Amino acid sequence: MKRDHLLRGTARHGLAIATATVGLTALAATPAMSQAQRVGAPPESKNMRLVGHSDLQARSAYQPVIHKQGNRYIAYVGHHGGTSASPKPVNALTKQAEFNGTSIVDVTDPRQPKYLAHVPGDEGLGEQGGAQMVRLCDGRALPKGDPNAVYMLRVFGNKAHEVWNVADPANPKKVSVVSSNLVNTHKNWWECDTGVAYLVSGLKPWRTRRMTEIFDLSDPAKPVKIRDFGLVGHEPGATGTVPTDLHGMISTGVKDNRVIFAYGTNKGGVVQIVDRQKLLTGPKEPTPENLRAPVIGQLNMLPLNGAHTAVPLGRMKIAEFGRDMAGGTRNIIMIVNESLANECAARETRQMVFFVDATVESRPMVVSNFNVPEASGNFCSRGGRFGAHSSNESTAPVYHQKVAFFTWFNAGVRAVDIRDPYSPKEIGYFIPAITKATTERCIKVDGKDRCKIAIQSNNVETDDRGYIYVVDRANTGMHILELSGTARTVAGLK
Amino acid sequence: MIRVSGLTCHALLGTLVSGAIVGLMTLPAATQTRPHTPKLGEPPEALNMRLVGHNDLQARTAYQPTIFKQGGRYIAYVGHHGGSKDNPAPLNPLNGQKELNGTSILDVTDPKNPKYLAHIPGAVGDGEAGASQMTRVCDGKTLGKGDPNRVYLLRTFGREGHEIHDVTDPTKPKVLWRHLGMTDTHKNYWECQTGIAYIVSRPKGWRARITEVFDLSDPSKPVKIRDFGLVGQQPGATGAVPVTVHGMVSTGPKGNRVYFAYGTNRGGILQIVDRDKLLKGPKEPTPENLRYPEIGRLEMNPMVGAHTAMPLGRIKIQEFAKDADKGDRDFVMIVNETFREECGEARQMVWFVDSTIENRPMVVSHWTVPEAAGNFCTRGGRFGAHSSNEDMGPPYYQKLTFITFFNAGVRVLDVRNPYQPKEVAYFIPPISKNTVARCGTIRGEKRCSNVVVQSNNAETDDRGYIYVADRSNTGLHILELTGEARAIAGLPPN
Repeated sequence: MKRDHLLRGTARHGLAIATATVGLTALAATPAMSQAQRVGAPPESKNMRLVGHSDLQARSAYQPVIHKQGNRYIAYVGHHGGTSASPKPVNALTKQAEFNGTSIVDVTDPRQPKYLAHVPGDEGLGEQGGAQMVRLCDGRALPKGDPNAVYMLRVFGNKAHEVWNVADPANPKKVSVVSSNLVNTHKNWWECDTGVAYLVSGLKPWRTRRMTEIFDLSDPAKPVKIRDFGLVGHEPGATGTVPTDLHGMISTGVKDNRVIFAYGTNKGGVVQIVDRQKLLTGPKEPTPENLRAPVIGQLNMLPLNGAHTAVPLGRMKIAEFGRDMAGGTRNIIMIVNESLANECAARETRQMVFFVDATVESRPMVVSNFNVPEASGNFCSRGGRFGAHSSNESTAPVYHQKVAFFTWFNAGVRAVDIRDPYSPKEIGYFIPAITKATTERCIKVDGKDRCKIAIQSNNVETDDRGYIYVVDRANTGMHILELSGTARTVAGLK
Repeated sequence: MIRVSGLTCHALLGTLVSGAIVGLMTLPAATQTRPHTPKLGEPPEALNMRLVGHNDLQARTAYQPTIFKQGGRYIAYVGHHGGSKDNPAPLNPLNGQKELNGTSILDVTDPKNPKYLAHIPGAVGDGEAGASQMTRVCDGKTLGKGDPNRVYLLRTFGREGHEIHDVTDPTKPKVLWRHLGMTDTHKNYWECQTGIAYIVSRPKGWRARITEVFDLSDPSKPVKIRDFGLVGQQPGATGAVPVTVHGMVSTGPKGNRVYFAYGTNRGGILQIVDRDKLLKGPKEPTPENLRYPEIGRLEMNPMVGAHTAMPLGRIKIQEFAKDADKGDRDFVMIVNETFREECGEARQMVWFVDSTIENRPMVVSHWTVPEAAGNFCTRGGRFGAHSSNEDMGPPYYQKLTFITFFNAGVRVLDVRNPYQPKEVAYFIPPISKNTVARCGTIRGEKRCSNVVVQSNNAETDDRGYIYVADRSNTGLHILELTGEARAIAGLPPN
């Protein structure tokens, strides 16, 4: 293993140990610790091990997207804005101080990820700046795209959505600004075969911070607006209480004809099952009637939980129901809540994962939950956030409908066997080691800040080879992992 | 403790069928579930549970057992479904008469030797069309205006209506009140502290089986309070008729809630109702008046029904103890009812609802018996949930719940964390020569299935005994917990 890349940056000591642990490969079953993390301590893990790491220039990271580009695998990682201590970290490649934006990393060899470029984002700290969200489509997949281009759709802080050509990922070139003058942005979705993009935006006349703008980006150079969409009560001119903000959505595309919208982060969760065709071709004026028209079903969650991500897992054969005359196959949606509060405080209840049986789409119902036992690592007192945040979204066969990966902030990434979504089971986890780059998280104790340093595994994605990419909100970079032991067997990996 | 399994265990237990001998055994009743349909003479299948006593209930098909402490005695009142075409009026050996199934009254003070005291015949009609399936019992001392020296039995009379009997001397029940003229009845509830009774009826004019609310504080002078149902069920409504009520449980004036369960094996609805508004609100069955007392509603996945909605009350969840809400959550348990033999429908099971925010209750978990554990879909008869114990006192409330699962017997769930219910014990009563086969259209064919036990309803008493009544005429089994299941309830080792 080549050390010099891994050891670059500020995380020298911690990673030397992490790398040594990787050397031991199959012995990676380091149980969760009962106390706070220390620099230099090995990662805690079960059935998962570290393959490689990139420090992402010590930028706070949100969405990783892994895109196969020719023979290469390129990771595009969206960043939150910087910290007050370091609002504009230096890009080691250009030696320039740059606002956090998008990191582009060649992960073809996952043991030696190669940092290719940083595309600066908007100024502003944390969720106020950066460019947290990113999606990729190939020009040859898009109906009217340049077949030689690879397009990156990203947010620009909370102000705009823009498209870049990253055919040469080391030299991204801006193609267009899709939408601007926004008050907020967030977790977009882009259908690569049609070009339809569902953008989380805050449009000024709308009453909510976040709603959906739908664009036809089949030719990313010429964005065409289709419509705006939200919950009834979000629309301009409505009165009364404003319903929960949108967080994100996932479309199942033309064939399955559904878009699953997730509203709320850590409270007031709503999941909406929407007829995609009606959404795209129905009347567009934002009247209550037109906003209701494409909605097939809606799950109003227990308001103690939000809906950060709603992932349609699709129709799954449930082995337990295999001999029942009806209901052996169920349509499942997975809801991931987002934990916002540090150290389980600030009026927040446990944020976790819920599985919804949406076989009868007009009456979706939660059937099971997944949670990390707090006592298994004393996570409420370790520092930072503890709780669910996000899941992988790749539908590559290696993990689809078999294993889901959830980021759990200070409890790292959790691998869960979802072959029976009525009874999800944890089969592995990895809590990355902290480094000198890891930033602290504070809560008020007696009116004063009391701060702790802990990993804050923020978002996760997988590729079709089975590698798992976990990025850290607290500036520890991107950890590339693989399953081991029995967890690997569940996925059918050798 | 020694775990015995396999053939040795079967052989050993084969000689130990009688309650008295079982009582001497200190071995855990670890007779593993069999892969095949149990045969006559084979011992029960059990885990952490054992037989204490048995009564054959005159080989009458049994529904609701109610255990009532009467003076120094424990009396069991067991409601029966109607007989079969072959044997519509089984013999009552106490009086030598052939009697239509009604109510069995037993002295279970000594659970090892239950003593059959009396049978009150019920209405004409086979199965659910006749007899007297439902029983509730209250003491005159607590009812308010009742005769303090009397004990009252409220029971259904076939589908025709309801009756009150004076059962002060349980060997000589006397009818006091008859409320007939209905076309359906079912699972009533009677508050012994106030006399308010919620009785399941179908009065003339109503479009479905609904709830009649009575003041039975003086059982000799019943006073009707109102009728209640879902909007659309009231006289004069049009359109589709909403799913019929199955039963309800009230938490009385202090809890001020009534939990209504609609549906049996499909279209389930849980309705949380403000008791005070229900009793004192405007009574005319207009849509507005029917909506007025409703606080919250959970429309379930329509593939399951709601047989029983059992309030579990406020439970402190240890897993959430360090969270801002300290883990204090309210729960309702919903039990579906299986209708079809041999898994001829979607699986009916048990659901746990977090109702902490009452206007947005949400299912958070479920529980089912693993079918493969005993090849229950092919054993014969119904497999799936039906009913739960309803006692809200020690030693079991908020700790253990007992669910009848037809051919899988009675199952004991640890509900101390309803987000993760766990089975800790079970008992599948052995069949006897009285056990009858289930016949009819089974998985599309006209035939009978194998002879199996069909554990129908269960109740518990304050000593910790568990009473399970069989739908297939095998009688009443009185059970006790052993081992770790017993420890959870805080009962002394036995």
